[in-house]
Amino acid sequence: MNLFRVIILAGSTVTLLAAGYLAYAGVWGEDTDVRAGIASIRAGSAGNSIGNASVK
Amino acid sequence: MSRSGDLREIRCPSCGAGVDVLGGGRVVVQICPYCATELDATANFAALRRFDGLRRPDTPFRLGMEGTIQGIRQQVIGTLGQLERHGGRSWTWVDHLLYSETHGYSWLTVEGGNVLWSRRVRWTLPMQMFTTTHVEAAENRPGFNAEGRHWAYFETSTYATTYIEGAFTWHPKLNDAVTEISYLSENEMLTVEATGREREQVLSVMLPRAEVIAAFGLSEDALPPFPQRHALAPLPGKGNDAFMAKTGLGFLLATLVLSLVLTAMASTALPYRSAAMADLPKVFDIPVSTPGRLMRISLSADVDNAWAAIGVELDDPEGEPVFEMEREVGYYHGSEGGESWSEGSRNATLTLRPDMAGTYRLTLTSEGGEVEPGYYGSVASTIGVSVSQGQPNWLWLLGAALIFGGAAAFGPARRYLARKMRLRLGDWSED
Repeated sequence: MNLFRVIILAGSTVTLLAAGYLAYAGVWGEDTDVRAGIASIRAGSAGNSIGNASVK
Repeated sequence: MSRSGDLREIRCPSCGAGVDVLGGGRVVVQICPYCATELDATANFAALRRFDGLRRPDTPFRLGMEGTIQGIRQQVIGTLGQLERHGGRSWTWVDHLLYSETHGYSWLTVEGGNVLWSRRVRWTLPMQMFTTTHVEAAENRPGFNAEGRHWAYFETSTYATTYIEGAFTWHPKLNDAVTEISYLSENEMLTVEATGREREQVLSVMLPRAEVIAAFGLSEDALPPFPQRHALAPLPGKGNDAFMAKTGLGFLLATLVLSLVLTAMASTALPYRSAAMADLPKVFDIPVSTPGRLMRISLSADVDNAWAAIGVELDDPEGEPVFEMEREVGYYHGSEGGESWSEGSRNATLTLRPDMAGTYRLTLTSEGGEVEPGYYGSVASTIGVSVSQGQPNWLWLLGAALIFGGAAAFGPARRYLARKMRLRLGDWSED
């Protein structure tokens, strides 16, 4: 097995594992408006930003 | 009458130069390389005629040179310079007749810095494919299957011999036009003379430059390192493409399996529940057991040509508000010009990442809704809600699948394009 094939196999394995972990953890899977709404609630904001006007 | 097999050298009756006797028992003429006199090999090398004004073409091969091609010992016994003119352009190449004591006669062709090896075959072929009338009448590129390969039409070539030296098994003629038709397979070219009685079938392959140099003991600069593009040049990536295709498909399958596993790991936190709009606000308890992973709240409303705004409030297990938001669903349909149309959706989702386990409290409220003015329909009477947890983000797996699929398809796609480009070197035109 030549170096090229070793690199392809290693790269594919890393890609599969990374994609699997990121999918499992749901990275970047939240709705952006929900994330903004949660952030503004935690910051004590009354909302009024990024489309979450109803956040109180 | 045939010549003596023991004869190694003769003296040219025309110029007196010593001429090596080359080739096997089928040689009928020998053209003196010094004075270009054609000698009759079957009649004691009597002078037949003389070719005047010949100019030796550029080739690294000389008469008498020996080399091993594909395991067969060969000797260069003849040289023919060839010229094709078409459409104001001209192409030249050199054909060398080879002789092997064990395998007989074959050809070594030097063309644009490439070296081809050709030999006669006797296959059962659809010979009408090798006629100019058939090629010219064809609406699509002619092709056929033979000997386990597909052969695609490549070109019709009319050329003439401009230089002759050495030994031949026939009487070569100067400046006589010969028309040949060629078909290509994966890495071979099959050529048959379009006219004439014998219609010899010739199969050609390209020889690797390094193999030719080593076989005939040529110097490194005898053949250019970057020859002209040729239809028989090897297709790219043969070695690693199969590996890439297998690896890509294998990892694509692994991605699919991983997707199924992650799907099986997702669970329902709140089975589908429905509630009358009139009963809102309504509170639902959501037991969350997979904190840190995605939770999806799915909402639906039976709107018809109308919209409905649903207020969504979520409190964490400690009673602290997580968020308070609104989702709008709207579904419209009708027909126009005899065709039905629809737009919008009766469903909406919210996806979040709860950061603690425990029972969350979901409160749904009605924030309004109305029928689209000018349309017949109804506002929502019932809403539905369900919640799933441990949801994966499919986009990462989709991205990986695209990468693996691309890797698997890369080699076949590259070879497909290379085949297309290679056929374009021929003379077929779809016009």
